Amino acid sequence: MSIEILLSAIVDGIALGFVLLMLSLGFSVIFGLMRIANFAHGSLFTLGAYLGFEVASRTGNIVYGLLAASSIGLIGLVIERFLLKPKRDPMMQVIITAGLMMLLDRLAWLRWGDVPYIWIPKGLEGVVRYGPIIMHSYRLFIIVVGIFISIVTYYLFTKTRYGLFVRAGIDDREMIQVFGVNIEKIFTITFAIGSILAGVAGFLLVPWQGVYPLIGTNYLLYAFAIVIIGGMGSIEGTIISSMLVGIIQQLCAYYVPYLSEVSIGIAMFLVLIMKPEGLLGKVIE
Amino acid sequence: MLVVLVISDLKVHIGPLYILQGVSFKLRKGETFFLIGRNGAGKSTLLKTLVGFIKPSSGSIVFEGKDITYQPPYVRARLGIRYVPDNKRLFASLSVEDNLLASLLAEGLSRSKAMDRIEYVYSLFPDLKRLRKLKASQLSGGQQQMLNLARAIASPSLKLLLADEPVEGLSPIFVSKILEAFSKLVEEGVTMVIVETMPVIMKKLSGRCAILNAGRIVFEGSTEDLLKNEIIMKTYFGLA
Repeated sequence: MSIEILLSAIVDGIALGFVLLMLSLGFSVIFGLMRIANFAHGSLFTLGAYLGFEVASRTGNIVYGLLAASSIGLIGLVIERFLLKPKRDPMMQVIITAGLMMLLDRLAWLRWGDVPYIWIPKGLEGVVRYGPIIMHSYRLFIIVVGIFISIVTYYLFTKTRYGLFVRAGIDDREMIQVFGVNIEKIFTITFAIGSILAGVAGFLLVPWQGVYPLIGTNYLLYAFAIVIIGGMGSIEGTIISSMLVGIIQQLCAYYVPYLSEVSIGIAMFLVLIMKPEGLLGKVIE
Repeated sequence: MLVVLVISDLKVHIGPLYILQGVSFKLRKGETFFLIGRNGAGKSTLLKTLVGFIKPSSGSIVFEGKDITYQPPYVRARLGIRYVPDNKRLFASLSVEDNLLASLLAEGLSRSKAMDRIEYVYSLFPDLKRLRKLKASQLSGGQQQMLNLARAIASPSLKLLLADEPVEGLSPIFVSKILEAFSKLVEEGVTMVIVETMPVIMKKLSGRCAILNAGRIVFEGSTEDLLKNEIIMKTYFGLA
């Protein structure tokens, strides 16, 4: 086991961690605030990947790709406003989001088929050497973009008026209304922000792992594991567990590939036994 | 004096159970109104209906001339109605100061105005200033209740306070602090509906009161009348 490979695996793990963070943060906050396990979240990740791919591969500009992926927020807004808002019943919302997951994945399959698509932005194809460490340029790019988006999102949730209402709403979504907050508006904004993050995360993964119809649903399993490990609705917990899951997954992918999928399950299993509410979670009544 | 709250024939049913079976009363500006009754009489349900958590089956709630019977809680809050729940329901993961800040920003105040109001609240409850960085979940029961009340009375637009057993289970020190705050609200002309099980609060604040029994008002009068009535004192407070 050489130190060079270990460091490369950790860098890749951090890059994957940021993608997972963007996917899971929206999923976790939506669950914490709205008590919805949004099964369609992974499909929004897939749609973001396809939309970003279509625009970026045609224009050759990654920024346009990111903007196209962000437009998934509009789809999220429509889903929340017209499908989830009319009936705030937990079972109904599970059925609606699970149905949407199947529908969107199937539509993606009909439009793009089973073939994975990949597009690598110019200038980010190669590797960067730093001493003995060899790092893929694109994965470093993900880390830079990931840091930027994470800081903006963290600022939004912890330093703004909206973020304060979201955190108060996660604690008690009924009581925050008693002070004058229109919680329905907060639900819609949060769902749209979660969808933007999912769409951007999906597109960021295209140059690394490509895009295929079930990629989002596969990654949704990671998001489930991350929110369970970090604690449902906990922003800090989601950050820590995303990095943890990204690094564990990549270490296993480098050294024991046949364990890379199972390793996350084992981590989740251990957390559930030792701390059922998650690393930084709280018991939700 | 000006009538601010008119409740007419309010009926609430939850599933097959009729909790409120036609409650009516009027409140004038600055009046303190106590609700008394055994467990399950419908006191808390009445407050939750007034705040907007429970939709009534029939009847009406009119506040300052506006029919708010089916308005959501946030619309009522913007009219100056605040609620102090009996089980505290603080924003547990937020600090004491953020609990106060969230409640003030929610009504649309700017951050600087909200901070001014928080300083005012700290002058009423100096202990909260000392504890401001702590998470609400780290406070003792009495401190949590202080914050629960402070969060509601921090509002500069407070007109109607609905408090559900605000001093239940508190030590005498905390009871006297909370009573002081209530007295100040009375001076400021805030109308209050207080669900209470302790006669000491009624002695101190005086006003009107009603006894709820099985979802109906069975007695309405002044607190003095109630405190003099031996049968009521024995039946509802275990005191003769």
